[in-house]
Amino acid sequence: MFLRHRGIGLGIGAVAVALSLAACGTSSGTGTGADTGKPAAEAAKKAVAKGGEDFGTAAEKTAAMGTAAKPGEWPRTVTHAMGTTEIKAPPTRVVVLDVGELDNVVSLGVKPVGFAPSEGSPELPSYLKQDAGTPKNVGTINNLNLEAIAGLHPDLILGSQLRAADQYDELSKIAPTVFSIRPGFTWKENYLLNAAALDKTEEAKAKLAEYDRKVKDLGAKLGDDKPVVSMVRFLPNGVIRLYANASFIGTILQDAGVPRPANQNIPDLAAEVSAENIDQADADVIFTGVYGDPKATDKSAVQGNPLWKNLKAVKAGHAYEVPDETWYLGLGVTAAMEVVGDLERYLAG
Amino acid sequence: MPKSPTRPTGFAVLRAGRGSFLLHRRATLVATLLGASLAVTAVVYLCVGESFVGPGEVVRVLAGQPSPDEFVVGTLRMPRLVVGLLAGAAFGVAGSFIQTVARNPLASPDVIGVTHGAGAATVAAMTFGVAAHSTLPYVSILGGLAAAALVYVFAWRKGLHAARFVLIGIGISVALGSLTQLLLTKGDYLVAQQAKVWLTGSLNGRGYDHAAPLASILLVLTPALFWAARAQRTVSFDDDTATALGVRLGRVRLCLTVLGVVLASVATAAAGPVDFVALLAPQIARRLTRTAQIPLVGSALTGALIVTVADLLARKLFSPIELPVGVFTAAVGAPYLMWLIVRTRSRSGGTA
Amino acid sequence: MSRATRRRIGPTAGGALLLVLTGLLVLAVLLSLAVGSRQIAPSVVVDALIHGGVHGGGSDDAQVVRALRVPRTLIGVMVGVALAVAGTVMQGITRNPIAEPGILGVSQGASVGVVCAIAFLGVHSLSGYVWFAFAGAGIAAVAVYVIASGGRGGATPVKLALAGTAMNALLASVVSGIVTTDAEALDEFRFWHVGSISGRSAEIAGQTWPFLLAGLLLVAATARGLDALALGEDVAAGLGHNVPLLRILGGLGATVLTGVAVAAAGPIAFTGLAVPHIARALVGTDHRWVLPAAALLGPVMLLVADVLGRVVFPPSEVPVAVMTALLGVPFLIALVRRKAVVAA
Repeated sequence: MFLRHRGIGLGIGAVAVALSLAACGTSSGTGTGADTGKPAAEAAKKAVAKGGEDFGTAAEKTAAMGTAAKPGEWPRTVTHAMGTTEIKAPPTRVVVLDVGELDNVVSLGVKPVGFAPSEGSPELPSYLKQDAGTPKNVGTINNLNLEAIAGLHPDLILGSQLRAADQYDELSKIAPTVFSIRPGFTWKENYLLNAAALDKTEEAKAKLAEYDRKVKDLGAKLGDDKPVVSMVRFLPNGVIRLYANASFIGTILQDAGVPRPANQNIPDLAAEVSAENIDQADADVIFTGVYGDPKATDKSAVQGNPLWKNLKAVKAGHAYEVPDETWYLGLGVTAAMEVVGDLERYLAG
Repeated sequence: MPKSPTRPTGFAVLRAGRGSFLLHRRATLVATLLGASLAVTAVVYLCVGESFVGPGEVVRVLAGQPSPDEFVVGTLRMPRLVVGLLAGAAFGVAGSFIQTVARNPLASPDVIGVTHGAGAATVAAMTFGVAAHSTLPYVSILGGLAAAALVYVFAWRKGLHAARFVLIGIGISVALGSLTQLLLTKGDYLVAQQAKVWLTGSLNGRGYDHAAPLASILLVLTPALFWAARAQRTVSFDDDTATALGVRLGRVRLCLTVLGVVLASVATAAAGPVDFVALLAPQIARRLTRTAQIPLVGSALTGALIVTVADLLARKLFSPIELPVGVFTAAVGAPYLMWLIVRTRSRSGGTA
Repeated sequence: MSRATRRRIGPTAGGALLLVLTGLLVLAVLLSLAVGSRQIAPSVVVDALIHGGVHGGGSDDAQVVRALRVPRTLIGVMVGVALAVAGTVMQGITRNPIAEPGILGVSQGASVGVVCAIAFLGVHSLSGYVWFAFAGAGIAAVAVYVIASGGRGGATPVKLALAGTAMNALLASVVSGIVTTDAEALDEFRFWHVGSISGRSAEIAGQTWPFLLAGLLLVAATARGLDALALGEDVAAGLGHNVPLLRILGGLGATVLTGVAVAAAGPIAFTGLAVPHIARALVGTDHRWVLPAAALLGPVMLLVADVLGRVVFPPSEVPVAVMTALLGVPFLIALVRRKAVVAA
């Protein structure tokens, strides 16, 4: 960059450094179009996070991304959330920046060299452990350690705009970087995008077809009179979320044709309720998950409370606790298949 | 304190008698040594990380010559170092102004609510989505100024009393901290997550786009800093002397305070609330130079040195996980504040 | 408090005042039972308390009142009493008007004790970790007081507040260090970081009351001594009080009360600051009146703050500690603006 060539004299005092940098800093901020432009990235990120207009169209937009290259054709150009990126050769050293990308590459038989876990759980998700190999820890999702990533000398970095748009510039200098728009309900589109970068589109489509078959089977097994399913997740500090359609689990339930209560049948991630209004969570079947340590949530207070015990599903014995890491934290096809298996056991078993 | 007769005080250093000249020489020596150790630290900072880069290679990168380590040193470590240096220097200078005005080593921008004000304003802007990313630093400055003004207004009761100033500052800090919590509860969870990373005071992911507003504001303020360096001397006179010399103390103090608050807010905007640097730097610098008043250049260099060393440790100690730099400065700064309280010989009731 | 004017209150007036305060407390309790993210009519609340019940198959509203709001309110009352009385004693024994568990970092000390006990020693029951809360509170209290007493002028308000701020900052940085390197501690810490009385079961109230009682008894024993101490250490000694013993007993009582409050609800600041001053303004300086008045007013402030926290951003709830700080800070400012504080 321009700045480096300005020769920052080491003996100069801090104020002098400040002066010389002021000029450089401002010019690089407003300057050349080579930068993707951070304010723009920031605005895009905001729109996604706030459930702005991008929220509904994120899936379509992601689906339009990918590559025009034929299988086995290298180099290939991949269009993604931050622009286009050229990948010269089949990637062998992949770094994944979130659980969704981890699931995606592992399900395609790729053992990533680096992985950024969430703040709460530095471990690999147990359902992926077996096939994930031993990726090195590269910081956490919200606090990436770019040096650790650079030190791994990756040849592909997979992540999402929502999580790491700020660091795209640096990441893309380390290795070709492909970003989806956001994790979550766009998991199928993200999967295909990641697969396009790895030249494993056929495998990914096969996996998705397998998932499709399984989930349709489940729908058929449940017949016409499907139970209404409510999704309750307890989070720390008394937050209780009822997961809705624009969530990972929401898409799976939709695929299976399982009906949802009206308050969860909305195009949003989730609806929040308080412990006092837990009766709004009622349905034929309730699946509960707990984020982090159950003791840090309102779970015991809610479930020990007669209001909970009075729920239709609870009375009928149809309230089930399900693994959070696949149902709620899961963001990829492996988790989705696990969830379908669980659903089958609980609903059709 | 050397009493310079009739001349404007800024020139006193050059013309005063032998004693004062000696003091000055020590201050210069200290500044040189601080500058040298800062340079060494900066090179070490650029060398050390996930992978070690030799000092020779670092110098090559700095000189703009092609190098295999250009990316790690030039693109990853350098911007972060620059933000750290600038923010540390700004905190140091801000602290020296506020402490000079308050004539109390315990008064520092973080104690009197500036950092919390900047934090609350920034989180509010993030939560309500009212400000674009690029304007956040300015929101932060406004927040810091507003908090300081609030403290000033509430602490004013027939004059300013340092103890009252500090107590009100602590109270306002707590209130603003609670307000920040309130906003985080209200806000979107993703915004809250990002805000929390910022609120811990971290240099990870800070780059030239964070350094730019900081550097440009420092640049704009440079003439003011030269004025302030002179004004600092007059303020440290007692009221009678100053009045006799015809200095309008109230106005000078107000200007110094505003300068200090602006600097601390700008630094907070760039690096997040890195606690206690503004408290530590001027005190350490003054102990090193043994001057009567707080040395400005020394404070700036010490502040930059503290932040750089702390961030170096924060990056390296638990790698690959990075601690926020604020954790380290607080771990050092808080015991130092305690020690200061135990050792304090200052007039506990100086005017602020 | 070394204020020259000393007001005392007669038994009749005092009794009447306490009665009024009791009425206020009843109102606050009803408010806390009736207000929340779910709309429940006061008549239903009263009905639920008297008739409705777990076995009676009452309505959902009645269930909410009995199962969620009653425990929450009960814990709110206990924590309010503990904090207000702890604040009163701390102000008495340090002879310092801004002494308070939150500002002095004593609450933070207790909560760090609890987090360490849970995260590292696997102590999960309240009766187990309450001891760590006591230890943490005690260590923090002694450290802050010793630091503030050092140097010139003894433990002035500004030095106490600064020492407390420094202690809070130090503990916060220690905790961030632990949390960053030990993910399991993170969830625990999140829970203990900001005081809240939501989601606590009635069981917690059952486990805390013996400690609360012990703390209150310790404090009650010092009431007369605190009055004497207000006149100065020499006067107190002259009146036949053993000043060091008095301080130790009072300090122990305050530590136990703070530990109890933190073990039940997490750190909550400013209740212990504001309430004793209001109590003193109402009943004068006699601790045999101030202590009961504070014990009645503490829960009122805490419950009102909690109710506000429930209604500001529904359906999310703002933790009560955030609300007490927002309510308490104006009080601190008013207090500091009074000359007595900074002249000390």
